[in-house]
Amino acid sequence: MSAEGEPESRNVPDQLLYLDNAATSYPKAPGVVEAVVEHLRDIAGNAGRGTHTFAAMADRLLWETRRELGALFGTREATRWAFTLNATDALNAALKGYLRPGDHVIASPLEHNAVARCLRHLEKTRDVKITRLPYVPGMGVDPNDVARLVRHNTRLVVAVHASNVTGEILPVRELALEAHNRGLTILIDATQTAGVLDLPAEAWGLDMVACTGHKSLLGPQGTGALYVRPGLELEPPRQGGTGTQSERDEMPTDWPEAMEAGTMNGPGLAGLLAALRWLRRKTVRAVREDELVLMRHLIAALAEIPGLHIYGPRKAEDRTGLVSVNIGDEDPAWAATELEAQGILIRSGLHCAPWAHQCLGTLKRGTVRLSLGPFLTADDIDRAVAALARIAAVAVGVR
Amino acid sequence: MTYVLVTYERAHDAMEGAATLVDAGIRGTLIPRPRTLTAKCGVALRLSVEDAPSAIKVLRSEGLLGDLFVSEDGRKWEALALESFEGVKSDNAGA
Repeated sequence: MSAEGEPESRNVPDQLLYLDNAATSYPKAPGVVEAVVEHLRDIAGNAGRGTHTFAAMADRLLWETRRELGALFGTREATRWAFTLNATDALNAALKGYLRPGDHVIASPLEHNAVARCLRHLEKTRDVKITRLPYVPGMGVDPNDVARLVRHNTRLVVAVHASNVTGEILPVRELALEAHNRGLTILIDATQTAGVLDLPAEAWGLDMVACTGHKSLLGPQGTGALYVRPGLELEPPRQGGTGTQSERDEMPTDWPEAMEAGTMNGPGLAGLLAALRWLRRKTVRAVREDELVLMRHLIAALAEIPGLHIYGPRKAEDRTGLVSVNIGDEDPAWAATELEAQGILIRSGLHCAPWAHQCLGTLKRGTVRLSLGPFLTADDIDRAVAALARIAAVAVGVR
Repeated sequence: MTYVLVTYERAHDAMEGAATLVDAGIRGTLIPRPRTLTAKCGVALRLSVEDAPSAIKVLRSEGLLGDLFVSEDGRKWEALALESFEGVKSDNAGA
């Protein structure tokens, strides 16, 4: 990793190369660590609870974070951004808050278990019906299939912006158009793309967007957010104190309080705010351009390794900064262990996304996933590729 | 290099097993469980063949010993009987 971009303090020894940014990003954006510490040290207040100096500071911090999210996703109403624990929490709030008994949902075939398991739960508890969009290897998802699969009781289309297994980017703008043409609501999971790909929610007509703070947004774990367009109401995910309308023992209907019972993660959100500000200065476009340079280099180099299979799109432009591979018939767990022995930290297995592995034909085996971050360099990519090449050589018996 | 692997049904047992070895001053490494080995837990505890006898003795005494496997290259694993470790079973009889 380079000093360029000024990542935060690095406690990972220099000999370790972290390529598991799709699980959680490391290092975080410059300023994140200081913002978390500053909040813990200097802000005693609880947002919405009281009006004293510290409470007002905590209030302002949350409000500014909502505004930064609005700026990033092109939304005007800051109140429509509710904070969550993570993307899973945001997706659960959206799905459980929107779907009614007997509803039909059209889901992308590449959904993470954050959506898949939630939908299976709703299938059992609310008789929600689920249809997955077809997936054609090499072709991906066809938005026109929405029209073919819609039923009288269909209310929602849910799609991940990019797969956490292959990085494949889904045509969410076109899916939103198809959904709206049929009077359906659309929910987008931006877990792997927030801060890397443009996702203008208002301009693209996205009704709900879920994101996490600790992956491509480069903030702390324990932070996430859900955007819901004005006029679309959800059942609140939980009930409790909000610091507003306290004379009533029922949840307020005003946003975001309706979705935010209990104390928010102030220190985490302070870190997220610092990350969002860094991203705004750097620009999503610049982050993406840097990522594309590395991804083109990575995919081209991986393609030269004998016996190594690359899953997903071949063009870097069609994916985010991650790639799944396998070496011959070798166990991905073995490859992961061998890579770690060479100081390279990646993730093997199913990545909590069995639907995606069904599409790839890798459900029983899993894959080796390398996921990049904005502070990596071409030298880091070369090191990872060289290590994979050595492991592949062992596997295929080439010396 | 020859390795001994302990697989688990519960992730917490694997974590506790690794922590127990740290407390005992014995080296053990958590690695992704090889897919050919069936277990509910996705991680396994890898031991060097030199450390295995003492590690297994400690794990067994703490009720943290899962299924045992051995491999010479870290790729192909074979089941390993507890009796392979001299003294381990008899030392802990009735534990």
